[in-house]
Amino acid sequence: MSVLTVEDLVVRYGNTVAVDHVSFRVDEGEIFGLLGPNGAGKSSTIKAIVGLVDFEGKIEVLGKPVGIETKNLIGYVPEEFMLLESLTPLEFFEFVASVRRIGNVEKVKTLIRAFGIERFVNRPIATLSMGTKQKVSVISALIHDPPLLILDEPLNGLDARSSRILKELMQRHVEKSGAVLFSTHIMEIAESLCDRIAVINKGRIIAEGTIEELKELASVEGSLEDVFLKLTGQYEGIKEIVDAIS
Amino acid sequence: MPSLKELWKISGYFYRDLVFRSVYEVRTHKKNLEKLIRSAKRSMLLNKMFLALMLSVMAIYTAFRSNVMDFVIFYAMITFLLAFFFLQATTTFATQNFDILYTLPLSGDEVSKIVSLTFFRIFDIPITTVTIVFLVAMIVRSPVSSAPALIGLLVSESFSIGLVVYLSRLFYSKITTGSGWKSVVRILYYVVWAFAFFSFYAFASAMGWLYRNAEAYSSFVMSNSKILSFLYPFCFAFLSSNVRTPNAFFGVAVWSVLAYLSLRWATSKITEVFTKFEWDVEEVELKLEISSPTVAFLKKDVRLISRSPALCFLVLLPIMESLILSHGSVSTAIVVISAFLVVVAFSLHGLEKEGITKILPVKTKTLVTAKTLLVVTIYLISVGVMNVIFAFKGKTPDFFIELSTTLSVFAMSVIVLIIAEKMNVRRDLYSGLSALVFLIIPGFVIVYLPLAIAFIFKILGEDYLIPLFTASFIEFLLALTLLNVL
Ligand SMILES: Nc1ncnc2c1ncn2[C@@H]1O[C@H](COP(=O)(O)OP(=O)(O)OP(=O)(O)O)[C@@H](O)[C@H]1O
Ligand SMILES: [Mg+2]
Repeated sequence: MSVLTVEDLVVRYGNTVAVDHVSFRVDEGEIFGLLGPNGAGKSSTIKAIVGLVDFEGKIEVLGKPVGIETKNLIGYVPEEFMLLESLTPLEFFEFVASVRRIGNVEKVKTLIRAFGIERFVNRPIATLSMGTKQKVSVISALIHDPPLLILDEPLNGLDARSSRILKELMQRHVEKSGAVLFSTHIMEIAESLCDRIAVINKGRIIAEGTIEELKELASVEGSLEDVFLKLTGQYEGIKEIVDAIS
Repeated sequence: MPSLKELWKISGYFYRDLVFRSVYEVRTHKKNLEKLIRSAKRSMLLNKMFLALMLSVMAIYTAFRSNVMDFVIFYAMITFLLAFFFLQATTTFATQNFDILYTLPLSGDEVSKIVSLTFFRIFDIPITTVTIVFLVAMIVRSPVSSAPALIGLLVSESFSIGLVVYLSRLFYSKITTGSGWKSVVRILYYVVWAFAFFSFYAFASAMGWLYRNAEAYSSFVMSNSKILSFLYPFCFAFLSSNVRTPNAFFGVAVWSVLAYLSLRWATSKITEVFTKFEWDVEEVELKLEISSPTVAFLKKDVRLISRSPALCFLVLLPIMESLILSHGSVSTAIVVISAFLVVVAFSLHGLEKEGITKILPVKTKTLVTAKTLLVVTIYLISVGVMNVIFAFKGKTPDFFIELSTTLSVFAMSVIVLIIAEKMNVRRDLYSGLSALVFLIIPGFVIVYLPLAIAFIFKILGEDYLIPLFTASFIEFLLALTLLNVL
């Protein structure tokens, strides 16, 4: 069953077309990776789904068009923090949980302990390190047990232990018939986690499928990194550039 | 080692970032970013020019009247007005990220200078303009006095910066954090903080009043010139108006040194206050209190307000205003207080600029209700404070007018917030003059319409209480209906 359906999505900023007729779907039990070079339109696609930017086209979560009803179906970790910096993490979770009408706070406490931020929950978020802020951001996306997780470069700044926890959580999540859409620049992670991948470049999806299918498409034997660079036309000239710089 | 000119140039990058971030929240919208940056720059410039103009008018007026009391008031006004405006800017400033400076080959001292210069840039035009205008006016008026006058002004400006850094330090270190017994201390500091703001306000009002009665006080000042001429700002005022006493010369020397020291202290502490404050790490009990979404918004807003000097001031303003206005009549007080509440309502909406609200399942009704409750509470506290003072003075509070206005304040808040939400106006006081006008005019109309109707009835010699109440009640019902159809 499809958890997320995106059809003919267009996102514009003034005259810039950041996302250009993008379509894809993420099914139940699936981790779907969005890969693409900087400025490709990954975050813009994601922001349209979570309701942060205006868009043209159709986006549905569990069959419902995105809007206020779908907001509790999504857990979102943005690429840049969207936290209330003068609150403490505890106050922030309290706010998010209340607005999402969560009755049981045990989940929040478990997550706080899992990510090991007990010592930091009582000082302003503004004073936390980047990684700790990211943990706050991840926890706030998970507290309402949403069927769809949307993570924009979620491993940014996380230490080894927390990345591992998050990765395992993502896998657990899809085993329990949830779905994950996530973007990353780390090819190894995409290779080990994703069931399917869409490669996006200059606002358009240029390839989509399982890793095997992508390799076939690019006719490349090797790592996902090679496939990715080939597909996005960035393979040529790397060696020359490195030579020139060193 | 970079020269001051280079440091100034570096501070320019941070300043531009600061201006940009004043409209940062709109970033996620489908808008033309370049246009936004331009308009942010423009409105920042307009604000600066407005302040520069205001200060220059004061400077010229003072220079040409050349009365001792006028100078006293002018110097004190400069110190407090600048401190007041600087404090408004500290919240944005405190979120500025200067970390990159530590990765560059700069000494700690240079980093401090860059941070200070960035801070100074927020008010560069007003400070420079008033200094030049004042100096020129003084030279025209009396060349001999222009030197002490200029020093007096520079000393006042330095004191204002020192005061701001001192107060911010107090605020950020003592007020914004802590739990358990610390929260008791926090409340105490909070009172001190509120008091500091109040004293500013009282001070500014008192100064305005003094200006109008300057001549009467001059004789008092002159007859006590022995002691006063040693004190700031009197010593500068005496010399600026050609009254030369040895004490005044001595005073100028001492206060100039103190001003220099305070400026140096402020420069060295500014980085500590705004960039690397250290927090205690402590284990705490994990306690979360889940409430309804409306209460959650209310709680969140109260927390945000209590931790931001600018917001805190804005909310306390109507309450302080009521303290001051309790000397006059009920109707004047209510007219002024309700006008402030329009700005409060508008600014409370600005708190949602953080974006997080957009990804949460929040109904417009929840948001508007939470913020309206806050606005009405502030109104009731203001009126309550005023009534207590009335009671002490043996005046009878006018509960009927107060009740009617509560209804129209409610209506105003609901409608202003709905417009703000539906128009997607996500700007704050410093970045969107046009949005301000858009929301403030309807707001004023709603709070003042019943009062205007009552006034007309009063002139006609009719009973005006029933029309006042009826008009407010209709507004209230209208707002309530609007809120429920959303
Ligand atoms: N608020 C905005 N205003 C104007 N243009 C924007 C805005 N946000 C993004 N863009 C532009 O839209 C395009 C897509 O940006 P987006 O953030 O979606 O890329 P991305 O794939 O997430 O890149 P990255 O890997 O660097 O995060 C880029 O050209 C970017 O410059
Ligand atoms: Mg991105």
